Amino acid sequence: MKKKITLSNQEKLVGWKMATPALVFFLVTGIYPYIMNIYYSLTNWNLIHSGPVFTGAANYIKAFADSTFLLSVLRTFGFIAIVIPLEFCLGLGMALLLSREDIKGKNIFRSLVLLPMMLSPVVTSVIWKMMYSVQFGPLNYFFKVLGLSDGRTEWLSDPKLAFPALAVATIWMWFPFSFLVLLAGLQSIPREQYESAKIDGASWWNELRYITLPNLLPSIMVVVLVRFLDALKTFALVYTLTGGGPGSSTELIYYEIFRVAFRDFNIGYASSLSIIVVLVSILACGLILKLSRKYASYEY
Amino acid sequence: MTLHRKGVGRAVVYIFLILFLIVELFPILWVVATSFKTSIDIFNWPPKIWPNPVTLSNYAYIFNDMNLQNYLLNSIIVAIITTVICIIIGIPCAYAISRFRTGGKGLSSWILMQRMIPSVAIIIPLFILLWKIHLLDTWFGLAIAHVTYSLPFGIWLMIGFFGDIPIELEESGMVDGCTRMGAFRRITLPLVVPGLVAMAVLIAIQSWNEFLYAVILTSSRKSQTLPVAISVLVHPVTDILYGEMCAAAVVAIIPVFIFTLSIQKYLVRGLTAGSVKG
Repeated sequence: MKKKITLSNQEKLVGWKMATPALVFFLVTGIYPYIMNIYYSLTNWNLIHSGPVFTGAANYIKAFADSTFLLSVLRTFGFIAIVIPLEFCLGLGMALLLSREDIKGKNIFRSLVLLPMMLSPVVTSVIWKMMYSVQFGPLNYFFKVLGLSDGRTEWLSDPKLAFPALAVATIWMWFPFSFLVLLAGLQSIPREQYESAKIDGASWWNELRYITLPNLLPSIMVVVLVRFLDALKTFALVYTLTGGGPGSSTELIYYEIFRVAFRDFNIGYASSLSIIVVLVSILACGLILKLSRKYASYEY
Repeated sequence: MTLHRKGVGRAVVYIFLILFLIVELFPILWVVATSFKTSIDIFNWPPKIWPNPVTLSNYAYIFNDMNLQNYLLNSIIVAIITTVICIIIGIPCAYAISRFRTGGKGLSSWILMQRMIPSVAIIIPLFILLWKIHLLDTWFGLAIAHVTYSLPFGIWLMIGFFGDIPIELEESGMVDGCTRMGAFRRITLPLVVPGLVAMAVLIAIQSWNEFLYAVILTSSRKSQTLPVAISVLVHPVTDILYGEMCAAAVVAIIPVFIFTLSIQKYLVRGLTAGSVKG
Protein backbone atom coordinates (compact mmCIF):
# COMPACT_ATOMS: atom_id res chain seq x y z
CA MET A 1 0.00 0.00 0.00
CA LYS A 2 3.08 2.30 0.17
CA LYS A 3 2.55 5.17 -2.22
CA LYS A 4 5.59 6.42 -4.05
CA ILE A 5 5.77 10.11 -3.36
CA THR A 6 7.55 12.44 -5.70
CA LEU A 7 8.90 15.46 -3.94
CA SER A 8 9.39 18.89 -5.38
CA ASN A 9 12.67 20.63 -4.68
CA GLN A 10 10.79 23.09 -2.56
CA GLU A 11 9.50 20.28 -0.37
CA LYS A 12 12.99 18.84 -0.05
CA LEU A 13 14.17 22.23 1.15
CA VAL A 14 11.34 22.44 3.67
CA GLY A 15 12.34 18.99 4.92
CA TRP A 16 15.92 19.99 5.52
CA LYS A 17 14.81 23.20 7.20
CA MET A 18 12.59 21.28 9.59
CA ALA A 19 15.36 18.86 10.41
CA THR A 20 18.01 21.53 10.94
CA PRO A 21 17.64 22.16 14.69
CA ALA A 22 17.89 18.44 15.46
CA LEU A 23 20.79 18.01 13.04
CA VAL A 24 22.68 20.90 14.63
CA PHE A 25 22.15 19.28 18.02
CA PHE A 26 23.40 15.95 16.70
CA LEU A 27 26.42 17.65 15.21
CA VAL A 28 27.31 19.11 18.61
CA THR A 29 26.54 16.02 20.68
CA GLY A 30 26.85 13.17 18.19
CA ILE A 31 29.95 14.02 16.16
CA TYR A 32 32.01 16.61 17.99
CA PRO A 33 32.35 14.50 21.17
CA TYR A 34 33.64 11.50 19.23
CA ILE A 35 36.30 13.58 17.56
CA MET A 36 37.29 15.15 20.86
CA ASN A 37 37.32 11.75 22.54
CA ILE A 38 39.77 10.45 19.98
CA TYR A 39 41.93 13.53 20.46
CA TYR A 40 41.87 13.27 24.28
CA SER A 41 42.75 9.60 24.06
CA LEU A 42 46.03 10.55 22.40
CA THR A 43 47.00 12.93 25.19
CA ASN A 44 48.18 12.75 28.73
CA TRP A 45 45.73 14.96 30.55
CA ASN A 46 45.06 15.06 34.23
CA LEU A 47 42.41 17.67 35.01
CA ILE A 48 44.01 18.54 38.33
CA HIS A 49 47.55 19.07 37.07
CA SER A 50 47.61 20.46 33.56
CA GLY A 51 46.18 20.76 30.09
CA PRO A 52 46.38 17.97 27.49
CA VAL A 53 49.86 16.98 26.32
CA PHE A 54 50.03 14.99 23.09
CA THR A 55 51.55 11.57 23.70
CA GLY A 56 50.45 9.55 20.68
CA ALA A 57 49.41 5.98 21.31
CA ALA A 58 50.94 5.83 24.78
CA ASN A 59 47.56 5.50 26.50
CA TYR A 60 46.58 2.56 24.34
CA ILE A 61 49.86 0.77 25.00
CA LYS A 62 49.33 1.38 28.70
CA ALA A 63 45.75 0.08 28.50
CA PHE A 64 46.78 -3.26 27.05
CA ALA A 65 49.12 -3.80 29.99
CA ASP A 66 46.63 -2.54 32.58
CA SER A 67 45.36 -5.64 34.35
CA THR A 68 42.66 -3.71 36.28
CA PHE A 69 41.17 -2.54 33.02
CA LEU A 70 41.53 -5.85 31.18
CA LEU A 71 40.01 -7.73 34.09
CA SER A 72 37.06 -5.34 34.22
CA VAL A 73 36.46 -5.93 30.50
CA LEU A 74 36.51 -9.70 31.02
CA ARG A 75 34.30 -9.37 34.08
CA THR A 76 31.81 -7.27 32.12
CA PHE A 77 31.62 -9.85 29.34
CA GLY A 78 31.19 -12.59 31.94
CA PHE A 79 28.44 -10.54 33.53
CA ILE A 80 26.68 -10.10 30.20
CA ALA A 81 27.04 -13.80 29.40
CA ILE A 82 25.30 -14.69 32.65
CA VAL A 83 22.62 -12.03 32.61
CA ILE A 84 21.32 -12.21 29.03
CA PRO A 85 20.52 -15.96 28.80
CA LEU A 86 18.73 -15.91 32.17
CA GLU A 87 16.75 -12.79 31.28
CA PHE A 88 15.91 -14.42 27.98
CA CYS A 89 14.60 -17.64 29.54
CA LEU A 90 12.50 -15.79 32.11
CA GLY A 91 11.19 -13.41 29.47
CA LEU A 92 10.38 -16.19 27.02
CA GLY A 93 8.59 -18.25 29.66
CA MET A 94 6.38 -15.36 30.70
CA ALA A 95 5.79 -14.33 27.08
CA LEU A 96 4.67 -17.88 26.17
CA LEU A 97 2.24 -17.89 29.09
CA LEU A 98 0.81 -14.48 28.30
CA SER A 99 0.48 -15.15 24.58
CA ARG A 100 -2.18 -17.79 25.26
CA GLU A 101 -5.37 -16.65 23.66
CA ASP A 102 -7.65 -17.59 26.53
CA ILE A 103 -5.97 -15.37 29.15
CA LYS A 104 -7.96 -12.31 30.21
CA GLY A 105 -6.49 -9.13 31.64
CA LYS A 106 -3.32 -9.48 29.57
CA ASN A 107 -2.66 -5.75 29.61
CA ILE A 108 -2.70 -5.56 33.38
CA PHE A 109 -0.46 -8.60 33.75
CA ARG A 110 1.88 -7.16 31.16
CA SER A 111 2.11 -3.76 32.84
CA LEU A 112 2.78 -5.35 36.22
CA VAL A 113 5.42 -7.72 34.85
CA LEU A 114 7.30 -4.89 33.22
CA LEU A 115 7.22 -2.59 36.25
CA PRO A 116 10.85 -3.24 37.34
CA MET A 117 12.26 -1.95 34.06
CA MET A 118 10.47 1.37 34.55
CA LEU A 119 12.30 2.08 37.80
CA SER A 120 15.42 4.13 38.23
CA PRO A 121 18.47 1.86 38.63
CA VAL A 122 19.10 3.71 41.88
CA VAL A 123 15.67 2.65 43.14
CA THR A 124 16.55 -0.91 42.12
CA SER A 125 19.65 -0.54 44.27
CA VAL A 126 17.54 0.51 47.25
CA ILE A 127 15.24 -2.44 46.67
CA TRP A 128 18.05 -5.00 46.53
CA LYS A 129 20.01 -3.38 49.35
CA MET A 130 16.93 -4.15 51.45
CA MET A 131 16.53 -7.68 50.07
CA TYR A 132 20.20 -8.54 50.64
CA SER A 133 20.43 -6.91 54.06
CA VAL A 134 22.35 -9.22 56.40
CA GLN A 135 20.67 -8.56 59.74
CA PHE A 136 17.03 -8.26 58.71
CA GLY A 137 16.79 -8.95 54.98
CA PRO A 138 13.90 -11.07 53.67
CA LEU A 139 16.29 -13.13 51.54
CA ASN A 140 18.29 -14.32 54.51
CA TYR A 141 15.02 -15.03 56.29
CA PHE A 142 13.65 -17.17 53.45
CA PHE A 143 16.93 -19.03 53.08
CA LYS A 144 16.94 -19.79 56.77
CA VAL A 145 13.30 -20.92 56.81
CA LEU A 146 14.00 -23.21 53.85
CA GLY A 147 17.05 -24.54 55.63
CA LEU A 148 19.43 -23.39 52.90
CA SER A 149 21.64 -21.23 55.09
CA ASP A 150 22.09 -20.03 58.65
CA GLY A 151 20.45 -16.72 57.72
CA ARG A 152 23.64 -14.74 58.10
CA THR A 153 24.79 -14.66 54.48
CA GLU A 154 26.74 -11.52 53.53
CA TRP A 155 25.34 -11.25 50.02
CA LEU A 156 27.05 -8.00 49.08
CA SER A 157 30.30 -8.19 51.00
CA ASP A 158 31.29 -11.79 50.26
CA PRO A 159 33.67 -11.66 47.26
CA LYS A 160 32.13 -14.85 45.87
CA LEU A 161 28.51 -13.71 46.23
CA ALA A 162 28.60 -10.02 45.32
CA PHE A 163 28.91 -10.69 41.59
CA PRO A 164 25.93 -13.10 41.36
CA ALA A 165 23.98 -10.77 43.67
CA LEU A 166 24.56 -7.93 41.23
CA ALA A 167 23.53 -10.21 38.35
CA VAL A 168 20.27 -11.17 40.10
CA ALA A 169 19.33 -7.50 40.62
CA THR A 170 20.10 -6.80 36.96
CA ILE A 171 18.07 -9.78 35.74
CA TRP A 172 15.15 -8.75 37.94
CA MET A 173 15.20 -5.26 36.49
CA TRP A 174 15.72 -6.15 32.82
CA PHE A 175 14.06 -9.48 32.05
CA PRO A 176 10.83 -7.51 31.29
CA PHE A 177 12.54 -6.15 28.19
CA SER A 178 13.07 -9.66 26.79
CA PHE A 179 9.52 -10.43 27.81
CA LEU A 180 8.08 -7.42 25.93
CA VAL A 181 10.01 -7.96 22.72
CA LEU A 182 9.40 -11.72 22.67
CA LEU A 183 5.69 -11.27 23.42
CA ALA A 184 5.40 -8.91 20.46
CA GLY A 185 7.29 -11.46 18.35
CA LEU A 186 5.07 -14.35 19.44
CA GLN A 187 1.92 -12.47 18.57
CA SER A 188 3.10 -12.02 14.99
CA ILE A 189 3.67 -15.73 14.28
CA PRO A 190 1.03 -16.95 11.80
CA ARG A 191 -1.52 -19.26 13.46
CA GLU A 192 -1.62 -21.60 10.44
CA GLN A 193 1.84 -22.92 11.20
CA TYR A 194 0.65 -24.23 14.55
CA GLU A 195 -2.50 -25.66 13.04
CA SER A 196 -0.62 -27.72 10.49
CA ALA A 197 1.82 -28.86 13.19
CA LYS A 198 -1.20 -29.94 15.21
CA ILE A 199 -2.45 -32.05 12.32
CA ASP A 200 0.98 -33.66 12.06
CA GLY A 201 0.78 -34.42 15.75
CA ALA A 202 3.83 -32.41 16.76
CA SER A 203 4.70 -32.39 20.46
CA TRP A 204 4.80 -29.20 22.51
CA TRP A 205 8.58 -29.28 22.48
CA ASN A 206 8.75 -29.78 18.72
CA GLU A 207 6.40 -26.86 18.18
CA LEU A 208 8.67 -24.68 20.30
CA ARG A 209 11.79 -25.96 18.58
CA TYR A 210 10.63 -25.93 14.96
CA ILE A 211 7.98 -23.23 14.80
CA THR A 212 8.18 -20.80 17.69
CA LEU A 213 11.93 -20.31 18.04
CA PRO A 214 12.77 -20.01 14.30
CA ASN A 215 9.96 -17.51 13.88
CA LEU A 216 11.15 -15.61 16.92
CA LEU A 217 14.70 -15.34 15.62
CA PRO A 218 14.47 -11.64 14.64
CA SER A 219 13.07 -10.79 18.08
CA ILE A 220 15.73 -12.89 19.78
CA MET A 221 18.37 -10.97 17.87
CA VAL A 222 16.91 -7.69 19.03
CA VAL A 223 16.87 -8.86 22.62
CA VAL A 224 20.48 -10.02 22.52
CA LEU A 225 21.77 -6.92 20.75
CA VAL A 226 19.90 -4.30 22.76
CA ARG A 227 20.54 -6.04 26.05
CA PHE A 228 24.19 -6.52 25.18
CA LEU A 229 24.60 -2.79 24.65
CA ASP A 230 22.56 -1.92 27.73
CA ALA A 231 24.20 -4.43 30.06
CA LEU A 232 27.54 -3.00 29.00
CA LYS A 233 26.34 0.27 30.54
CA THR A 234 25.64 -1.26 33.96
CA PHE A 235 26.80 1.50 36.24
CA ALA A 236 24.28 2.73 38.80
CA LEU A 237 23.85 -0.71 40.38
CA VAL A 238 27.61 -1.15 40.73
CA TYR A 239 28.07 2.38 42.03
CA THR A 240 25.39 2.20 44.69
CA LEU A 241 25.01 -1.49 45.54
CA THR A 242 28.62 -2.68 45.78
CA GLY A 243 30.88 0.27 44.91
CA GLY A 244 32.84 -2.16 42.74
CA GLY A 245 33.74 -4.22 45.79
CA PRO A 246 34.43 -6.24 47.74
CA GLY A 247 37.96 -5.96 46.40
CA SER A 248 37.30 -5.39 42.74
CA SER A 249 34.94 -8.35 42.30
CA THR A 250 32.08 -6.27 40.84
CA GLU A 251 34.08 -3.60 39.03
CA LEU A 252 32.42 -3.52 35.63
CA ILE A 253 33.79 -1.51 32.75
CA TYR A 254 31.59 1.58 33.07
CA TYR A 255 32.49 1.87 36.73
CA GLU A 256 36.18 1.45 35.94
CA ILE A 257 36.13 4.23 33.32
CA PHE A 258 34.11 6.45 35.67
CA ARG A 259 36.73 5.87 38.37
CA VAL A 260 39.66 6.73 36.12
CA ALA A 261 37.96 9.79 34.63
CA PHE A 262 36.08 11.33 37.52
CA ARG A 263 37.87 10.06 40.64
CA ASP A 264 41.47 10.18 39.41
CA PHE A 265 40.66 12.84 36.75
CA ASN A 266 42.86 11.00 34.28
CA ILE A 267 40.91 12.32 31.29
CA GLY A 268 43.34 11.26 28.58
CA TYR A 269 43.68 7.69 29.78
CA ALA A 270 39.95 7.30 30.46
CA SER A 271 39.19 8.50 26.92
CA SER A 272 41.41 5.83 25.44
CA LEU A 273 39.68 3.20 27.60
CA SER A 274 36.26 4.41 26.44
CA ILE A 275 37.33 4.18 22.81
CA ILE A 276 38.61 0.64 23.31
CA VAL A 277 35.28 -0.28 24.88
CA VAL A 278 33.29 1.23 22.01
CA LEU A 279 35.44 -0.61 19.45
CA VAL A 280 35.14 -3.90 21.32
CA SER A 281 31.37 -3.49 21.58
CA ILE A 282 31.05 -2.73 17.86
CA LEU A 283 33.09 -5.87 17.13
CA ALA A 284 30.92 -7.91 19.49
CA CYS A 285 27.73 -6.61 17.86
CA GLY A 286 29.08 -7.54 14.45
CA LEU A 287 29.87 -11.00 15.73
CA ILE A 288 26.39 -11.43 17.21
CA LEU A 289 24.81 -10.39 13.91
CA LYS A 290 27.02 -12.73 11.95
CA LEU A 291 26.40 -15.70 14.24
CA SER A 292 22.67 -15.15 14.14
CA ARG A 293 22.68 -15.13 10.34
CA LYS A 294 24.62 -18.38 10.25
CA TYR A 295 22.23 -19.91 12.75
CA ALA A 296 19.24 -18.63 10.81
CA SER A 297 20.38 -20.22 7.57
CA TYR A 298 20.62 -23.59 9.32
CA GLU A 299 17.12 -23.26 10.63
CA TYR A 300 15.28 -22.75 7.41
CA MET B 1 -0.98 -20.92 22.82
CA THR B 2 0.47 -24.35 22.45
CA LEU B 3 0.20 -25.21 26.12
CA HIS B 4 -3.50 -24.96 25.61
CA ARG B 5 -4.37 -28.33 24.11
CA LYS B 6 -1.80 -30.13 26.23
CA GLY B 7 -4.39 -29.93 28.93
CA VAL B 8 -2.72 -27.28 31.04
CA GLY B 9 -5.79 -25.63 32.48
CA ARG B 10 -6.44 -21.94 32.34
CA ALA B 11 -6.69 -21.82 36.12
CA VAL B 12 -3.19 -23.26 36.47
CA VAL B 13 -1.83 -20.53 34.22
CA TYR B 14 -3.59 -17.82 36.22
CA ILE B 15 -2.29 -19.21 39.48
CA PHE B 16 1.21 -19.39 38.10
CA LEU B 17 1.04 -15.84 36.74
CA ILE B 18 -0.17 -14.49 40.05
CA LEU B 19 2.47 -16.39 42.03
CA PHE B 20 5.13 -15.13 39.65
CA LEU B 21 3.93 -11.54 40.06
CA ILE B 22 3.96 -11.88 43.84
CA VAL B 23 7.57 -13.10 43.78
CA GLU B 24 8.59 -10.52 41.19
CA LEU B 25 6.97 -7.55 42.89
CA PHE B 26 7.66 -8.57 46.48
CA PRO B 27 10.94 -6.58 46.60
CA ILE B 28 9.06 -3.40 45.64
CA LEU B 29 6.30 -4.05 48.18
CA TRP B 30 8.94 -4.70 50.82
CA VAL B 31 10.52 -1.27 50.23
CA VAL B 32 7.11 0.44 50.28
CA ALA B 33 6.20 -1.32 53.54
CA THR B 34 9.57 -0.54 55.11
CA SER B 35 9.16 3.15 54.36
CA PHE B 36 6.20 3.17 56.81
CA LYS B 37 7.96 1.21 59.57
CA THR B 38 9.46 2.48 62.80
CA SER B 39 13.12 1.66 63.23
CA ILE B 40 12.20 -0.97 65.81
CA ASP B 41 10.08 -2.73 63.19
CA ILE B 42 12.75 -2.39 60.52
CA PHE B 43 15.36 -4.17 62.63
CA ASN B 44 12.96 -6.84 63.82
CA TRP B 45 13.90 -10.52 63.35
CA PRO B 46 12.11 -12.40 61.90
CA PRO B 47 11.31 -9.59 59.42
CA LYS B 48 7.80 -8.17 59.72
CA ILE B 49 5.99 -7.63 56.44
CA TRP B 50 3.38 -5.11 57.56
CA PRO B 51 4.37 -1.95 59.37
CA ASN B 52 2.77 -1.87 62.81
CA PRO B 53 2.45 0.87 63.92
CA VAL B 54 2.41 2.78 60.65
CA THR B 55 4.65 5.82 60.88
CA LEU B 56 5.31 8.75 58.58
CA SER B 57 8.50 9.71 60.43
CA ASN B 58 10.73 8.45 57.60
CA TYR B 59 8.96 10.76 55.18
CA ALA B 60 9.09 13.61 57.68
CA TYR B 61 12.84 13.10 57.97
CA ILE B 62 13.62 13.10 54.25
CA PHE B 63 11.58 16.25 53.66
CA ASN B 64 12.39 18.19 56.84
CA ASP B 65 15.97 17.17 57.55
CA MET B 66 17.27 16.04 54.16
CA ASN B 67 15.43 18.65 52.15
CA LEU B 68 14.42 16.09 49.54
CA GLN B 69 11.98 18.56 47.95
CA ASN B 70 15.01 20.46 46.67
CA TYR B 71 16.21 17.41 44.68
CA LEU B 72 12.65 16.62 43.70
CA LEU B 73 12.34 20.07 42.17
CA ASN B 74 15.66 19.67 40.33
CA SER B 75 14.48 16.33 38.92
CA ILE B 76 11.17 17.79 37.76
CA ILE B 77 12.79 20.82 36.13
CA VAL B 78 15.47 18.77 34.34
CA ALA B 79 12.81 16.32 33.11
CA ILE B 80 10.66 19.19 31.80
CA ILE B 81 13.55 20.95 30.02
CA THR B 82 14.64 17.63 28.46
CA THR B 83 11.14 16.81 27.26
CA VAL B 84 10.45 20.28 25.89
CA ILE B 85 13.73 20.36 23.92
CA CYS B 86 13.05 16.89 22.51
CA ILE B 87 9.55 17.85 21.42
CA ILE B 88 10.45 21.21 19.91
CA ILE B 89 13.39 20.02 17.82
CA GLY B 90 12.30 16.39 17.50
CA ILE B 91 8.83 16.81 15.95
CA PRO B 92 9.90 18.78 12.86
CA CYS B 93 12.83 16.44 12.26
CA ALA B 94 10.70 13.32 12.58
CA TYR B 95 8.04 14.84 10.34
CA ALA B 96 10.61 15.74 7.70
CA ILE B 97 12.09 12.24 7.74
CA SER B 98 8.66 10.64 7.63
CA ARG B 99 7.10 12.82 4.92
CA PHE B 100 9.93 14.31 2.88
CA ARG B 101 12.37 11.39 3.34
CA THR B 102 14.92 13.97 4.41
CA GLY B 103 18.41 12.52 4.55
CA GLY B 104 17.18 9.21 3.18
CA LYS B 105 17.88 5.91 4.89
CA GLY B 106 21.29 7.14 5.97
CA LEU B 107 19.96 9.79 8.34
CA SER B 108 17.32 7.62 9.97
CA SER B 109 19.69 4.72 10.61
CA TRP B 110 22.32 7.13 11.88
CA ILE B 111 19.78 8.45 14.37
CA LEU B 112 19.04 4.90 15.47
CA MET B 113 22.75 4.33 15.93
CA GLN B 114 22.94 7.32 18.26
CA ARG B 115 20.64 5.46 20.60
CA MET B 116 22.73 2.32 20.46
CA ILE B 117 26.29 3.63 20.88
CA PRO B 118 27.53 3.27 24.48
CA SER B 119 27.37 6.59 26.30
CA VAL B 120 30.99 6.30 27.54
CA ALA B 121 31.94 7.40 24.07
CA ILE B 122 30.64 10.92 24.69
CA ILE B 123 30.53 11.40 28.44
CA ILE B 124 34.08 12.69 28.89
CA PRO B 125 33.99 15.23 26.03
CA LEU B 126 30.50 16.28 27.15
CA PHE B 127 31.81 16.87 30.66
CA ILE B 128 34.71 18.97 29.32
CA LEU B 129 32.40 20.89 26.97
CA LEU B 130 29.88 21.72 29.68
CA TRP B 131 32.72 22.65 32.01
CA LYS B 132 34.18 25.08 29.47
CA ILE B 133 30.85 26.79 28.79
CA HIS B 134 30.07 26.90 32.54
CA LEU B 135 27.06 24.60 32.37
CA LEU B 136 28.33 21.97 34.80
CA ASP B 137 26.07 21.62 37.81
CA THR B 138 23.14 23.39 36.13
CA TRP B 139 19.67 22.17 35.19
CA PHE B 140 20.23 23.04 31.56
CA GLY B 141 23.59 21.27 31.33
CA LEU B 142 22.15 18.04 32.68
CA ALA B 143 19.09 18.37 30.45
CA ILE B 144 21.34 18.66 27.38
CA ALA B 145 23.03 15.41 28.38
CA HIS B 146 19.63 13.76 28.72
CA VAL B 147 18.56 15.05 25.32
CA THR B 148 21.55 13.28 23.71
CA TYR B 149 19.88 9.90 24.23
CA SER B 150 16.22 10.99 24.40
CA LEU B 151 16.17 12.88 21.12
CA PRO B 152 17.18 9.92 18.91
CA PHE B 153 14.69 7.78 20.85
CA GLY B 154 11.92 10.36 20.45
CA ILE B 155 12.56 10.99 16.76
CA TRP B 156 12.60 7.26 16.04
CA LEU B 157 9.31 6.81 17.86
CA MET B 158 7.70 9.80 16.14
CA ILE B 159 8.74 8.69 12.66
CA GLY B 160 6.60 5.63 13.38
CA PHE B 161 3.67 7.71 14.63
CA PHE B 162 3.73 10.02 11.60
CA GLY B 163 4.03 6.99 9.34
CA ASP B 164 0.74 5.71 10.76
CA ILE B 165 -1.16 8.74 9.49
CA PRO B 166 -2.12 8.23 5.83
CA ILE B 167 -0.61 10.93 3.70
CA GLU B 168 -3.92 11.13 1.81
CA LEU B 169 -5.43 12.88 4.83
CA GLU B 170 -2.96 15.72 4.51
CA GLU B 171 -3.37 15.81 0.75
CA SER B 172 -7.12 16.16 1.04
CA GLY B 173 -6.53 19.01 3.47
CA MET B 174 -4.27 20.63 0.94
CA VAL B 175 -6.90 20.25 -1.75
CA ASP B 176 -9.26 22.10 0.56
CA GLY B 177 -6.86 25.02 0.62
CA CYS B 178 -4.47 24.32 3.48
CA THR B 179 -0.76 24.86 2.93
CA ARG B 180 1.50 21.90 3.68
CA MET B 181 2.35 23.39 7.07
CA GLY B 182 -1.31 24.17 7.67
CA ALA B 183 -2.22 20.58 6.88
CA PHE B 184 0.52 19.40 9.25
CA ARG B 185 -0.73 21.61 12.06
CA ARG B 186 -4.48 21.13 11.60
CA ILE B 187 -4.69 17.51 10.47
CA THR B 188 -1.60 15.44 11.26
CA LEU B 189 -0.51 16.95 14.55
CA PRO B 190 -3.85 16.50 16.36
CA LEU B 191 -3.93 12.86 15.22
CA VAL B 192 -0.51 12.05 16.65
CA VAL B 193 -1.08 13.87 19.95
CA PRO B 194 -1.77 10.67 21.97
CA GLY B 195 1.46 9.17 20.70
CA LEU B 196 3.35 12.37 21.41
CA VAL B 197 2.02 12.47 24.96
CA ALA B 198 3.18 8.89 25.50
CA MET B 199 6.57 9.79 24.05
CA ALA B 200 6.87 12.86 26.26
CA VAL B 201 6.00 10.79 29.31
CA LEU B 202 8.63 8.16 28.45
CA ILE B 203 11.28 10.81 27.90
CA ALA B 204 10.39 12.47 31.20
CA ILE B 205 10.57 9.11 33.00
CA GLN B 206 13.95 8.34 31.46
CA SER B 207 15.27 11.70 32.58
CA TRP B 208 13.73 11.27 36.03
CA ASN B 209 15.44 7.87 36.41
CA GLU B 210 18.79 8.68 34.82
CA PHE B 211 21.86 8.33 37.04
CA LEU B 212 25.18 8.21 35.15
CA TYR B 213 25.03 11.71 33.66
CA ALA B 214 23.39 13.09 36.78
CA VAL B 215 26.16 11.91 39.09
CA ILE B 216 28.92 13.13 36.78
CA LEU B 217 27.50 16.45 35.60
CA THR B 218 26.06 17.75 38.87
CA SER B 219 27.90 18.39 42.10
CA SER B 220 25.71 20.38 44.46
CA ARG B 221 22.14 20.74 45.63
CA LYS B 222 21.76 23.40 42.98
CA SER B 223 21.10 20.76 40.33
CA GLN B 224 21.51 17.26 41.82
CA THR B 225 18.53 15.11 40.97
CA LEU B 226 16.57 12.62 43.06
CA PRO B 227 18.55 9.51 42.01
CA VAL B 228 21.78 11.24 43.06
CA ALA B 229 20.28 12.16 46.43
CA ILE B 230 19.07 8.58 46.89
CA SER B 231 22.45 7.13 45.89
CA VAL B 232 23.98 8.99 48.83
CA LEU B 233 21.50 7.20 51.09
CA VAL B 234 22.26 3.77 49.59
CA HIS B 235 26.01 4.13 49.71
CA PRO B 236 26.54 6.34 52.73
CA VAL B 237 29.75 7.32 54.49
CA THR B 238 28.39 6.09 57.81
CA ASP B 239 25.35 3.97 58.71
CA ILE B 240 22.52 3.33 56.28
CA LEU B 241 19.24 5.00 57.23
CA TYR B 242 17.04 2.16 56.00
CA GLY B 243 13.59 3.64 56.57
CA GLU B 244 14.57 7.01 55.12
CA MET B 245 16.23 5.37 52.12
CA CYS B 246 13.05 3.41 51.39
CA ALA B 247 10.85 6.48 51.78
CA ALA B 248 13.01 8.38 49.27
CA ALA B 249 12.80 5.44 46.86
CA VAL B 250 9.00 5.42 47.16
CA VAL B 251 8.95 9.13 46.30
CA ALA B 252 10.90 8.27 43.15
CA ILE B 253 8.65 5.29 42.31
CA ILE B 254 5.23 6.96 42.62
CA PRO B 255 5.34 9.23 39.53
CA VAL B 256 6.84 6.43 37.43
CA PHE B 257 4.07 4.10 38.52
CA ILE B 258 1.28 6.58 37.77
CA PHE B 259 2.66 7.64 34.41
CA THR B 260 3.44 4.09 33.32
CA LEU B 261 -0.16 3.07 33.89
CA SER B 262 -1.44 6.20 32.17
CA ILE B 263 0.27 5.39 28.87
CA GLN B 264 -0.34 1.63 28.88
CA LYS B 265 -1.59 1.62 25.31
CA TYR B 266 1.68 2.98 23.94
CA LEU B 267 4.01 1.40 26.45
CA VAL B 268 5.15 -1.58 24.42
CA ARG B 269 5.76 0.50 21.36
CA GLY B 270 7.64 3.11 23.34
CA LEU B 271 9.81 0.72 25.32
CA THR B 272 10.84 -1.23 22.27
CA ALA B 273 11.22 1.77 19.96
CA GLY B 274 13.91 1.19 17.40
CA SER B 275 14.05 -2.50 18.13
CA VAL B 276 10.67 -3.79 17.00
CA LYS B 277 8.64 -2.63 14.05
CA GLY B 278 5.27 -1.10 14.74
